[in-house]
Amino acid sequence: MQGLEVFDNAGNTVLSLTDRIGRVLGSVRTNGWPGSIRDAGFTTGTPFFIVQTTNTGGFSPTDVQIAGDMLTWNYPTPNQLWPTLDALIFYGVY
Amino acid sequence: MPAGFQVTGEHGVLQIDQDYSNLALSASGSVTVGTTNNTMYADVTITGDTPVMVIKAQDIFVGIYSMVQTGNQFTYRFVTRSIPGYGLGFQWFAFDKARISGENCGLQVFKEDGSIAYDSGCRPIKITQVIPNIPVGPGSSDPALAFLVGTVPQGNYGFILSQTYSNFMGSPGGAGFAQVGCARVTPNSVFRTITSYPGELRATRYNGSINMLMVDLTGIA
Repeated sequence: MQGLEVFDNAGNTVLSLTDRIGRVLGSVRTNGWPGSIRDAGFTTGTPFFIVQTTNTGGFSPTDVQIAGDMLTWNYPTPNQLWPTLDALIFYGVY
Repeated sequence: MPAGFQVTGEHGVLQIDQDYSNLALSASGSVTVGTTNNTMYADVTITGDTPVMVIKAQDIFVGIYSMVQTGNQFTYRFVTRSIPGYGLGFQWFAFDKARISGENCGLQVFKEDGSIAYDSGCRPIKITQVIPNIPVGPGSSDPALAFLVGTVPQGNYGFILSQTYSNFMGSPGGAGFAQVGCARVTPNSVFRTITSYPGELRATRYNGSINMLMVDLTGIA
């Protein structure tokens, strides 16, 4: 067995040896443009991302992917009717 | 990490690492929407640093239309889609970088800069799995046609939608509506649909996919 077990005052398990708990690595603003960042932390667990858009009409980022230590995001081709949206991408591992 | 503190679980994956902050429960609440079958919304503002919003919705479909940050204030606009005969409430749980719990016993791990990485007095976020590439469209104006994504082991689940896909249909500044991916999760099944906001339900046209992070809320909700 390995890991850490944590119990609350009532004896309930808060953390067990088999729990996968999330760690936050950071966040990045897209400003409506495609882009990428590198973070070595992606390789320390199973990576995840969460895209939060603003409420201005338009396209959210799409094709968000994490491969190795790189997070990339793209947008559909913008046009006059549907511009691209700024978004905040949270990322981490579990 | 040449020196410091790490905990690796039975699965061989790091649980705690002094180089990174764990996500811990920072706020929670519940919302009950009206009885209409149309899309409803509710705004929730929290204070945070890097918050992650988890939704627990078993009866009603819930998604996030927008998140607006002003300093350390984060305002989420939830949108919902009810099903006739089902409940109208849902719960939300915000997880953020670990904080000092104030407990007098337990374990605290600090980062090199002196900020807290882990505090055993805080409830950590427990991610059980990521369901990838869930299609969000084209949708239907009939929630009964919502898509069964699949089954999951019996549990007490919340979920995080990796992307809101609140794509705007119409001209900026003019009449239009957004398409928002929504979901509900029963103790053993995951459903998704798409809704339109603002306004009445409309047939939707968007094709895309999202990931869903499943969160174990045992001991929390």
